[in-house]
Formats: sequence, structure tokens, C-alpha cells
Amino acid sequence: MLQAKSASPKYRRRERMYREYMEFFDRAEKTRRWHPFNDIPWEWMQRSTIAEQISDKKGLATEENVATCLETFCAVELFIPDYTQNGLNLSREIFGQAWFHLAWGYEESKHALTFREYLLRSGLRTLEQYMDFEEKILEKQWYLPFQTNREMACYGALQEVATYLIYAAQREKYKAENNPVLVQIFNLIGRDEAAHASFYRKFLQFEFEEDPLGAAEDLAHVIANFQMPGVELVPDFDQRLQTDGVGISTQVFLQRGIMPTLKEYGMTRRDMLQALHRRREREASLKPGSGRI
Amino acid sequence: MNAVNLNEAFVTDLIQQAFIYALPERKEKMERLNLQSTIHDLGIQSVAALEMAGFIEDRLNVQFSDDELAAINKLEDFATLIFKYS
Repeated sequence: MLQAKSASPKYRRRERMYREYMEFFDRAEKTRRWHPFNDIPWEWMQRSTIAEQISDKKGLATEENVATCLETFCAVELFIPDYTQNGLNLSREIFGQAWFHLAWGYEESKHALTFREYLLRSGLRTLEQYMDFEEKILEKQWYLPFQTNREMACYGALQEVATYLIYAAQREKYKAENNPVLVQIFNLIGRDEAAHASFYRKFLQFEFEEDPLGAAEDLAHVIANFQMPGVELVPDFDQRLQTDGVGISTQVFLQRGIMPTLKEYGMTRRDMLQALHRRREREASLKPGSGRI
Repeated sequence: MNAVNLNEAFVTDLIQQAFIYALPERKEKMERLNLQSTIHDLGIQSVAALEMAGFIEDRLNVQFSDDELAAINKLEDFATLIFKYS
């Protein structure tokens, strides 16, 4: 790998992101590539007992709450073109980061394919029902919830870990229910999400090295204003959240998402609150009428 | 008024103050606050819960553990921590 010859921040960023992306790419190619049709035991659904359950719409494999979960996850994944486009607009001049967004989009696209496949093969949704749902979902468009590259890296780190936690819980649920198809689906997809969260964390690590106070303020701001994409995008999302497994509780997100992320950068929860207050005070002082020129 | 009631009143008042500190825009909800209220029902998101905890910690000069904080579901759980650490 080439070493940075220049001390300029832009050069350092580009070189560092290149290295991080190459490590991400290499590991993904060697250990994480999977095929939605070949690497999932779909034949289990053709076993006579399961096929009978599907036909009769009985059994754990075909419960409506499974459909609600998968349909909701699929819906969020359907906005990958928007996520990728907006991510690329922010990062196009940084090779490693832009190429990560492209790879991320490819990997996430398999998630939507797989959820759709289960919905249809299980009979939980007919093709017509699915197509109607997809059309309704895509009436909306996703826009950046935060405006800077660094803020979106904070958002990505939190959103990916939250998604991983949701999928990990799903995997354990379907292990207990002896559904090997859904176990493998959430195993493969969860692994991708964990890798995505790891890349965003490494990106943020660089940001904390370059500007620790600014990065801390951005992370605190994103935590304070965080919401999962489904809130704005998926119809009846509040109602869907009543279905066990669609989301995670505030407690789980705090304990297994926010706290570990803060710890990653040497922050305590008090540090986070102090950074948040600093940012809010600065923004308030810059508002018209604040008296500050 | 016996000592137990006074403590409960103090703790409830402290939690209400912490709620107003963290969520001043929801002050009107304080009328309906009781210790059985869940943080979800009150719209207390992660940062607000941490701000409430920080407020209480500063008032009592204590430090709650992160794991116990993350487990808070109802305002009663704040009360439990207050009694435990005081």
C-alpha cells in the first residue's frame, strides 16, 4: 500500500479511506460473499410438512408477524438506490468511501432480494400483494437526515449496529422455532450489517483522530436526533413496531448500540452530553437575533 | 409525615425535576407522571434518559452504572437506582 506522502488532511483522508476500503473489500471477497438462492436452504420449505403448513397457512414459518417483520425490513432496503445516491454525492471525491458506498449498495441489495424471496415462497404474500406494497413504498424518497459526511458516518455507525441487533434477535428467534431458512437468512444478512457497522466505525475513528472535539459534537448530535429510516419511509411504521422483532427497545439500543459506540472513541455518556450541549450552545449563538455578529 | 413518605416524595420530585430538565418542551406531561410511567410512553428517548440520569447524579453526587441505566424501563427504575446509590 502507498504511504501518505503529504500531511494535508485531504490526502490523509483519501489514503486512509482507501486502506480501510481495501481491507473491507478483501475480507468481504474472501469470507462474506453469498448467493441468495444457492446459500440458503430453500429446499426446507418444500419438505412435505412445511409445504403443508404453507399451503394451509399454518405453523410458525408462516405466521403473520413473520410477514410484518420481513415486509418492513424489505421496505427499508428498497431505498438502497436513494441511500447509495446520497452517500455517493457526499463522498464521491474520496475513493475508498465512495467505493464502500457502492459495495454497501450491492450487499444491501441482496438483503431486499432475500426478504422478498421468503415472503413469496412462504405464501405470506402473493406476487400481486408484494408488487402493490413495493409500489406504495417507493412513492416516497429518502433524503439525508444529516448534512455532512462526518455526521452521516456517525449515523451509519449507529444505524448499522441497530440493524444488526434487530437481525441478530431475529436469528435467535428462528433458531428457537427451528426455521433453518430464516436462521440462515439472518445469519448472512446480519454478518453483512456487522461488517458495514465496522467500516463506519473505522471511518469515524479517523475523524476522531483528525478533530476529536468536532467529531464528538457530531456524534452527540446524531445520537440525540437519531431515528431509524423506517420511521419516515414505511407506512404504518409505528403500528409495525408493535410486532415483536421489527425494532429494538430504547434500552437495547442504548446498552448495545450507543454505549459501545461511545466507548469505541473513548467517550463516556457525560462526554457525549457535554459535547451535545457545546454544539447546541454554539448553534443557538449563531442564530439570527442571538446578538452574535 | 414519616421518613419513608418523605423519601418517596423527595425521589418523585427529583425525577420530575430531571424530566423537566431533559424534556422542557414536554413539561405539560408532568401532570401525568407517576413512577409506573414507562420511558416509552413518556417519549423519553436515549439521550433524554441519559440527561435525566446526569441531572439526578449531579443532585445526589452519585454515579449510576451504565448497565443499570440502560435497563431503565419505568420511572420507578430511576427511583430504585436513587434509593440504591444514595
